[in-house]
Amino acid sequence: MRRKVTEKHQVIVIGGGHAGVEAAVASAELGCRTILITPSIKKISLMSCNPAIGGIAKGTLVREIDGLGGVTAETADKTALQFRMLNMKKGPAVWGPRVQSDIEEYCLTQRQKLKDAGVNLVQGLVTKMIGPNRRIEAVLLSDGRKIKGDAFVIATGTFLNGMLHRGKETWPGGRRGDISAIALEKDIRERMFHVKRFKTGTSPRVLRKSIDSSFLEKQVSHDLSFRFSWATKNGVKNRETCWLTRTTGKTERIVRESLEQSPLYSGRIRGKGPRYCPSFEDKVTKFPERTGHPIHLEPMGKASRIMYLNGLSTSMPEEIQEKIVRSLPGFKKAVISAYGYSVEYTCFETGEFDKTLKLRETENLYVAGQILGTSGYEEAAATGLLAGASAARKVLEKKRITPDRMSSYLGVMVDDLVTRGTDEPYRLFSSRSENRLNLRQDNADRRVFTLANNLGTLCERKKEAYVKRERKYKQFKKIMASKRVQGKSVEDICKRPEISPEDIWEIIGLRPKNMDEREILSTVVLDLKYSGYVSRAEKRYRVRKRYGQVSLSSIKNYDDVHTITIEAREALNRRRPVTLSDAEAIPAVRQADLDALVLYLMSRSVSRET
Amino acid sequence: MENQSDLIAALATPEAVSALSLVRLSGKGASATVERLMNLKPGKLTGKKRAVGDLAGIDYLVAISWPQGKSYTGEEMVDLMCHGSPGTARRILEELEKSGARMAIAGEFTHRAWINGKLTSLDVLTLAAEYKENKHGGGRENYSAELLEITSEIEGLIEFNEDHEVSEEEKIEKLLKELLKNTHDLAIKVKRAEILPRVFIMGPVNAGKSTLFNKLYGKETVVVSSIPGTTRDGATRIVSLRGRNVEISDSAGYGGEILDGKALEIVRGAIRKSDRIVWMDPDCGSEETSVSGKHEILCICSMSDRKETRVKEGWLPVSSVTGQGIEKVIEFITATEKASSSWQLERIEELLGQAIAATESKDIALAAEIVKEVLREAEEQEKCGDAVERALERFCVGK
Repeated sequence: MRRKVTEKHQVIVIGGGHAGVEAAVASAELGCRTILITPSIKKISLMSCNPAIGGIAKGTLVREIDGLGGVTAETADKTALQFRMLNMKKGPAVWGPRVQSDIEEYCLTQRQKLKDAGVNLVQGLVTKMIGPNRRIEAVLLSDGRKIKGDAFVIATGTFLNGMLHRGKETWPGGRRGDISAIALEKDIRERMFHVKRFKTGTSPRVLRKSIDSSFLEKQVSHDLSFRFSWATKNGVKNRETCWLTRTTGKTERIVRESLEQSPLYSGRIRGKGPRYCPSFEDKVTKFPERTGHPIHLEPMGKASRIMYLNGLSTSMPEEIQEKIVRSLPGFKKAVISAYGYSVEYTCFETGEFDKTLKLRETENLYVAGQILGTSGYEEAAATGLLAGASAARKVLEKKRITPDRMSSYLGVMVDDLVTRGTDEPYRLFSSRSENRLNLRQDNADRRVFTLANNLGTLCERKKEAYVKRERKYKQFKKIMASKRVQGKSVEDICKRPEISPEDIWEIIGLRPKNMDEREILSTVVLDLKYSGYVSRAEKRYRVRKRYGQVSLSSIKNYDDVHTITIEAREALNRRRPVTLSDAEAIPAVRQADLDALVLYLMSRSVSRET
Repeated sequence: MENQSDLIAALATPEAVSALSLVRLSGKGASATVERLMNLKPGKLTGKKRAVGDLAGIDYLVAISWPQGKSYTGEEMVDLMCHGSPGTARRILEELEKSGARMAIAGEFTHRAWINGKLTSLDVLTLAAEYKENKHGGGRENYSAELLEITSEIEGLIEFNEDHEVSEEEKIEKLLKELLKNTHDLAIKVKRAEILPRVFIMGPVNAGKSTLFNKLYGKETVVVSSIPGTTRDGATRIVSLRGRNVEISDSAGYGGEILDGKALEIVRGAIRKSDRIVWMDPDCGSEETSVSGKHEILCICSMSDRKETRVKEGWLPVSSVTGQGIEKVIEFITATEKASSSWQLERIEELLGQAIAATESKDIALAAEIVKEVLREAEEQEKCGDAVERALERFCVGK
């Protein structure tokens, strides 16, 4: 392997997590000689936290990744232990497919995917970038090797000056048992990039045989035929069982009494943590009246002896963690195999990168995953794919392509990160989209096809399969448009809230022959069902986009604008938005204020002309 | 009401002998003015404070100050609680006027509260309705807040699936149903508070004004109520046309044989900028020149069914006999204003019904989208300034 690296590579990916893998695969698919550098090849795509892929909005994002030619969906299908469709009772637009994964199989499969794509793997720790900010020329490894490249993707996750915390202990590391990229972070700071510190955490793991499952509630898998990837032939198989337990009042009491021992509350950790995926300490402090927090027991692999305790992220000292765990029903004799901890890491400030995920100050340095400020495997993988494709397109001198927020969660996420920013780890939610009824999991491939085509990340095989599905979609749509039932068009019947896709098939006598057809038929019905809402949302978005062309730079002090609310004036003076659409993103600014600002600007430009 | 922050003052309680009277002062320098008059240290009434003392030798009283952003109007504000005799209050007001305060006009405090985002349009309309019914204060609806609560409930239910119990959907359904009921009540209140868009039917005598009026009033419309106690007795009706409430006046009610100069003066005085005029004349003659050009006017050539009638260009042929052109007249009348609040509230009621149906069909995401549409409709309401401006006319000084 050492011989191979002497040749010059086109795209160099630093980091072998979920972002790094997708970045490397996308770059290779575009035809670039690609290399991925990671401290440990064995740990490529290792799930540092819970052993699962998908969830609400996240599962939809995984299917978008598949539509864009990424590998996460196929790997998740292949290594799945159990499948659940979350939100089944909340409407098809927010169904969240989620699988439990065998983490070892997952690593192996991802490594194989990299090899299949022709990505060169190098084991090593990057300590420094060489060349001016504007144009990075090479990276230096801790063993002295120097690797040259045309474009670079940093996807270091929590490894950039990662510091682990548990109780009073603090030690450097990107993850339990791994080293921290301290030198690289120093290089980034010295290059004067704006960075910040975020934190996240993980739960303790326990030995399966030490748990008495008679106290636990069995988590049934859903017997739907489902797969993330359209390339996967059969539905995901259920090979394992998960369990559910709930914290007792005692659990919360232990946490409350030992709060000063948690680095989160003793002031030792200053980085911002995710509000939506909180540590157990946070849950107890913020919702003091609640007990019975759900804790999910998830196997780390098929017949694994270790179970992950989802919902119990904590960085309490070891002895407290033991007390917490043993207070759970069925956990009296529980043995912890690995303790929970928090990790603090460096990531880039909002405004440092653009919508191709390139650092603005540079010409060839891209960033993906947690260092953008995101959290979650799925978010990392999707941004990785975009960063890898962007880097490759740069090398190949192709024009820059960016996703848009109306047609994909990837677009929503990138737009949010670039224009709105985040001051805590960014997790995707369905409500972050203003076009949620369209951003469904069933139509993800249709929504991202244009983007995939423009990026050039979709291989021929997947493209052909897509074209076939699209033909079917059009065919089914035509059939529905032609049918009338009791004087009403099928299209109108679809719009009634109580009508499901299955009802429609019944009415028109169409029976899906297989999983593919079933899905396409659903998509046709749901597209019709929500079409009014979707076109209205898109129209509103177009109007708002026009706001982006209105500059607010001529307003020096918003106190001069008497027609807007005081609340809006204060917020605008504080935030100083560049355009009207930036102003629109500020919560205190309402529609009426925006209209008033437009009028104000118009009247001023008129009075200046005359 | 151009200058939003100049200092205004008014007596907020009835002008009568009582235990206490309240003089309200709002705008820039409210605190400093009272501090000066009461010989207080500067800053004594900055922020949310209280002071007791003598005011310019008039009365020994209690002053309560409110900082900008925290007061009823959203501006710097001081309430002076003095002894309840009209003379005392009047002298205090005179003193305030000498110190630069302007006497407020009716509804001006509420207007400022609305401008500063302290009250929504719906709040103002509701307040006006209650005021009209002589029910002071209390019971202020907070519509947007209620909607936002439902939205956050729904979003929580969607995003944090695993932390919720199964029965949560029922809670949303219940909240939606409550909101629907509140909306219904609000729609009724707002309907009462609203001053409706108006249309005047004008033209020479025997032009067929009353026939058209009766046609609109009789066949195609539902009478909501007649306005009691107006000087235009019998000639003004509130009608509901195509779901819109409109006040229609038949100018015949103003007397005159032909609309002479004097009658015209009266009518002109009664016509507001936002009112529309239907001018009718079978001869397409005298035209509307006598009426100010500021108004939207529809010129109609009446009795178009008669042979000798010649329609002039730009005039709409209308016949109350054959019904020709009537639809166009209704269109003109109902387009009078962008939307009236009660009409929008009816739209909101309809949407809420759909949201409940979506919830019952276990499509919470769809329900969420519909509730967002409701929020946007409500936001429209916040913008319907005209209705609010008119509702404000009903307030007393000091509110």
